[in-house]
Amino acid sequence: MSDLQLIWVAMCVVLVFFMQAGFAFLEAGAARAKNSVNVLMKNYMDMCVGGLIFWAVGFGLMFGDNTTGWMGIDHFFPQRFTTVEAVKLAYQTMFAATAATIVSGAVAERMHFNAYFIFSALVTGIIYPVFGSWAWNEKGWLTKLGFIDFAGSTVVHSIGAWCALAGVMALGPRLGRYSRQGETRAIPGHNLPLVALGGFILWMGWFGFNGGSISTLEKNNLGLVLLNTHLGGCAGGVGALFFMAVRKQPVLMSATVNGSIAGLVSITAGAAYFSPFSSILVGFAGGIFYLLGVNLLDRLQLDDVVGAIAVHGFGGVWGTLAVALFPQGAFSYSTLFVQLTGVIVAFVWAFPMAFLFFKLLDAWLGVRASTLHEQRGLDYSEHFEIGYPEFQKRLDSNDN
Amino acid sequence: MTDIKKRRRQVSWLCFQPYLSEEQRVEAIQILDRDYQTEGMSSLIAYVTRICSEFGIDMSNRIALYGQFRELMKEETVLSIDPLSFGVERDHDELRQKQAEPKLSPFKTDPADSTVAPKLTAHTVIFIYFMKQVYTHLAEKSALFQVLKELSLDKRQGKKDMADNVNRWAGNPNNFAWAVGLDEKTLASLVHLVYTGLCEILGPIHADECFHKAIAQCEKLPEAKAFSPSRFL
Repeated sequence: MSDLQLIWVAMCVVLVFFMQAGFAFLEAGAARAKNSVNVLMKNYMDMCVGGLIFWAVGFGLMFGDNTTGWMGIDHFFPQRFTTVEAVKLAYQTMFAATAATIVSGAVAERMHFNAYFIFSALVTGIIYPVFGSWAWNEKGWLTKLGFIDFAGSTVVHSIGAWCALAGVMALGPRLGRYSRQGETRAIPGHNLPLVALGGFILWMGWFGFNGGSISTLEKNNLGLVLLNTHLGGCAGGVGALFFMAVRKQPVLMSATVNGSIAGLVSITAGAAYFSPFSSILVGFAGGIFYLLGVNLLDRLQLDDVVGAIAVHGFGGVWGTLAVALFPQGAFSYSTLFVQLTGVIVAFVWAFPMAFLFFKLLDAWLGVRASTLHEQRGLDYSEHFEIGYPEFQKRLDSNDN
Repeated sequence: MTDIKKRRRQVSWLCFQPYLSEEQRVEAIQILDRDYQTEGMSSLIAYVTRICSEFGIDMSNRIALYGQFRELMKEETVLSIDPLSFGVERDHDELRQKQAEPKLSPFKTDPADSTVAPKLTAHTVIFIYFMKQVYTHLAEKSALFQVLKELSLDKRQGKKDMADNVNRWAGNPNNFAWAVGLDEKTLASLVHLVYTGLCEILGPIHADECFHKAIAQCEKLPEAKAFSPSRFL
């Protein structure tokens, strides 16, 4: 790795770190005011606990010597590195935290913080790095099959989304989210400007997320990666907007922001391989798949507060398959089959594992907050801190 | 006028005599006739609570008033006055006219009410007032009990006692005699159940609004100083 590339990847560490702020704002804004501190705490602790666990265990499992193809067996609690190794560890730590934090938005407003804290550690310590060792370790069995996931549409985003799906199913919907007649009731977030700001920050961080994943500056065209990333995000937002308009639905800002993020997720698997035109098509479809995913989940009464499963799961699956559907060379069914295998394996690994962990945590600590904690808000019941105390007081007095 | 109604007026007159002016006592009796027609003990508790709140009677006196009210309502206790012969005289015609109107009370009196010992802790008073507030603001009243009955039978939500309490409440929504003597934990679990029911019926946003309003009203009660309504949450 050249010095220039090393500095660039080091900068990308900072950019991907800042994505955590984007997730935090987007999720907090999409939640009700009474749960904002809880959502922020989950995102904050994803970074803290994720950093420690991934350094201790995750990195070794993911990038340690992988003789079997199933997981690394050394580099645990690493102490000595070259500069390149240290930057790689720092960069991958940010990715691990990203995978974990996808869960927090989906399970927001109803999950105990202590149970989430432990689950987050399990994601960064086991679920994410083990799959990562299959797909990104040079000796991983999926790598050897020829599975392509440039910056983690499946490895990071789908894995996080399937963990989130397990959480949503284990927890059940928020009280009153679905009526007995099966209608979905809107539970508006408390701060849509925060959602938009979160979207912008995530978009900015994505340049580091995809841009830092180049193997060499020469081999992968950094400029093209950054351009494709941007085009994917733009097309995702437009795709979501277009889809809402065509269906004569209200053109929602929150859905448009999520659409652009779905576009970014979709482009992540092939940002170095797509042409700009392909990137636009992939991102555009990603935005539409996000909205279809939201509709499907609501029909199944799976309450995902921020739409994380639709954005990262559906977007991730589509982006990974799109690598085979929009190839640099000739289309190949074998490539599509390998990509499909990777997508299915990610689900088969992450979802049952996460569901099992949720059930174990439920038996041990209880994962679902009590009815009235949900009513009062997890800020107070879990943290004894209120996100907006003056506002809350004023709201109460206005009720009199 | 039935004897029991006359007696309730007399007891009200006597009980509030040390605290209220004659005009205020007349108003108190009008409130009694207008809003507290059921004969259960809980109705009297709610009445005393309301009068105390409206006329600012101190908390310490209020507890004594509950006991005094109950004592004077016993048949063997001899009452020395008839309020209709005093200040209420000027409202006599109006009151008599009201009494002459047919009363279409949908609630039957629970005979057990009179035997329930009113162990009126602050949390009981708050609970009763809270539930009354929630119930009053609810448009779909029958739907609430239907959902509550289902939820209380759900093993994850309720216990047998819970189902019993819900059935008793559903039998007479304005009568809370069944709540007297229940501990704080049991009442809190009922509040949980009602919140879940409201979420089912109204959705979480309106359920929160309904709870906010009820809590705000409860916090005005002097009992809230001894037992914050938030403790049920």
